[in-house]
Amino acid sequence: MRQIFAMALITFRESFRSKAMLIPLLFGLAILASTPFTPAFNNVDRIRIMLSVASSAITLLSALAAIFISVTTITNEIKDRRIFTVLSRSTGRFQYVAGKLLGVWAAIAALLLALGVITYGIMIASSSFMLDEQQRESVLAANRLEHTQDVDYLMRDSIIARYEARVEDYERVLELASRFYAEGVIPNGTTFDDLIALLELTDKEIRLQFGIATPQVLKARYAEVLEILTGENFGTDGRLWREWYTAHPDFGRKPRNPDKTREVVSGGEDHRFTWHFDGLREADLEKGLRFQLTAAVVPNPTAALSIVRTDKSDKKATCDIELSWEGGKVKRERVELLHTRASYFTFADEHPPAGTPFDVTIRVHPGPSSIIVGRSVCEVLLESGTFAMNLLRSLLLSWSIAALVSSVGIFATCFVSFPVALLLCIFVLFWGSTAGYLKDLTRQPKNPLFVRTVSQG
Amino acid sequence: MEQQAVITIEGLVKVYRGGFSGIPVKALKGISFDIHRGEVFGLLGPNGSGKTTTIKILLGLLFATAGKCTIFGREPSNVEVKKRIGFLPEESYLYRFLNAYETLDFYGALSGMPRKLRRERARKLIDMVGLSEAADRPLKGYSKGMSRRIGLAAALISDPELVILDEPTSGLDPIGNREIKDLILRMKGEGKTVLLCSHLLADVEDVCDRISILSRGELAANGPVSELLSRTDRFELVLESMTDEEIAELRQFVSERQNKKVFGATHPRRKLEDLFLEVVMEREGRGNGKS
Repeated sequence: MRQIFAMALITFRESFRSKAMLIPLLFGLAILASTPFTPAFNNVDRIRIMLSVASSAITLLSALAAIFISVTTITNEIKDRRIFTVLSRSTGRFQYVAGKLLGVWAAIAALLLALGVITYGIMIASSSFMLDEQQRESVLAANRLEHTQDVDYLMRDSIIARYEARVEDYERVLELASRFYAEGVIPNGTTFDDLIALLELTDKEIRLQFGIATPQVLKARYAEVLEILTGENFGTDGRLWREWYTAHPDFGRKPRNPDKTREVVSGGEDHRFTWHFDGLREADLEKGLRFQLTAAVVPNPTAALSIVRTDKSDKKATCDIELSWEGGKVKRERVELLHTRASYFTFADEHPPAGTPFDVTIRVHPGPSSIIVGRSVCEVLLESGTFAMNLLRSLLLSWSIAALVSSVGIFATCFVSFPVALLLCIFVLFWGSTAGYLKDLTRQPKNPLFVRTVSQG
Repeated sequence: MEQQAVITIEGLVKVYRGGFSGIPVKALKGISFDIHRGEVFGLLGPNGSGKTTTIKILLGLLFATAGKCTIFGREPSNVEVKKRIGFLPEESYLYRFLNAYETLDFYGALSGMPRKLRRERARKLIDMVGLSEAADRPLKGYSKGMSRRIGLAAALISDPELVILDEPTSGLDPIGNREIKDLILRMKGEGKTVLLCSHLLADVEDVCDRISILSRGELAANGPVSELLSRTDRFELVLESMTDEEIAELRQFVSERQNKKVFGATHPRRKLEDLFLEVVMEREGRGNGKS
């Protein structure tokens, strides 16, 4: 072990003296320093873009640094003949390669740590500078409810704040939503027009999510959410809504979803999940039917189901959905589930008649992910909601990619020349990034795995 | 009593694969010799004769195509055997960003030495090779002679029983050259075995007990230095200083009375190395560098 650690230490020190490490470090610093000047609709959006750019830059630069360090470290020792002075000692070839590998891994970890610390500093400083104290306090005012506020690293959807409550707090959630709309005080500095609110009702809890999107989509969705809440259409004019809210001081005190009689059944063979509903209300059918898995904002009068993914994996997923009732069945197949927007299943003319019990069956097919980077493993081990932990997780993901290509580089230079080893590493990096897409083209997805909760609105 | 062999080479053959030409190159063509414990052995030969190939096989860096080679009775690639070997390569292949202490510590660690022992040995060796004042400087600032010295110290860090020195005096001034030769003789006195590989025949002649001369991958000569260099058809007589008349008288006496042919009668010459050392030592106020 002494020999391995000695080789690892010398490789680590040598790596930081090489241009292969210095150039990515300086380049990374330049990219990170420029991120606060990213053009964006608003500051929250800007922070999100900054994180995305920093994440991509760190992953790419660390992988490139790993490739160049790994393919040059043994090659240079052979060229300078220093390898003779090492292998003539009581150091075996295995110990030599193992020491080199450990040294390169440690050097990449140090590079990532440096870039991570800088990223953390820039993000914390930027968010403190861009979001004022009052905005933060207004968010914290909702602390009576179980509250998660995350400027979330690797954020796949646009959630900027989420309020969760038990069913008993339903009125409280509506009140909170109403107050936010009325006062124009929106979490994380988003403007009134930037807001999109997604209401999710399950049998156990209620979720109200505030997110951001493009202004055109936001305005349309905002109007629709208000319509869900109030039954009135205010268009995209916030002034009309404020007037209405002022005229209805008791708004939000009535439960909007008193029908909690449905029974939720989950499980079953082949990862098939089925929910049973007692029946639709006449009142709902008059306005149009909405089944919401996370959020449903669909044109009237259309029966629809929508699904939004809230997991953070890179897996592609598709979904089949089926409504069945006595004397009828409707099936929709293979809709791709995206992180960024809801997937809609519309049932304009085929929904069950009012008062008829029916089942909703959903099958989700996760597609293959990129095997080579092992993201799913890290995802499970390091799931976390805080910015610091998510940043650490993303650094570990980047490190795992860099460690893999550096291992390929070091082993390759033991047997092949420098250019061949370099090309091999670049190929592995490229293949690792695109393997998932290539497999999608050639394989049918298997093993349906998960489904989100369902609610009726 | 038969001397114990530290290195045994029997019919060693090494063939390098052909490059683009595809023609294999036969670097060693079945050489055989032994090196005994406690002797200084010289391996001589012109460029391309197979010296470095032989050393690389001895160090386990290359594998022989045919023949047998053992060090301390075991295969050269055996890691335990390597603990007993110190190696100074032809050039100083070192990590230039390390200083002298770090270099010796690194090579000591590669030899499996514990940290405390490494530190003690490093301090002692740096003093021995005369680099105490430059010990904290990175090696990239060292002259060629200083690099050779630290390379030699690195070879000796594990206190090896067998020391393989490839051109140890290359790049050294005459004083450093003499110091290295003194060191080799000191190692011999301590019972270490030294394999010396050099182009400088005077160096080899000064310190080696036995030599082998390689030529085009074959063993051209092998034996004790004194036997190989002695001439039985000549005799040299060294006398006190004489006048020209006395010399003429002596020549006449030898040629007429002893019936022997006189080839020359002149003042014996010192080696240039001895003169250089005497002059430089005197001007620099140092003691005689000769051992």
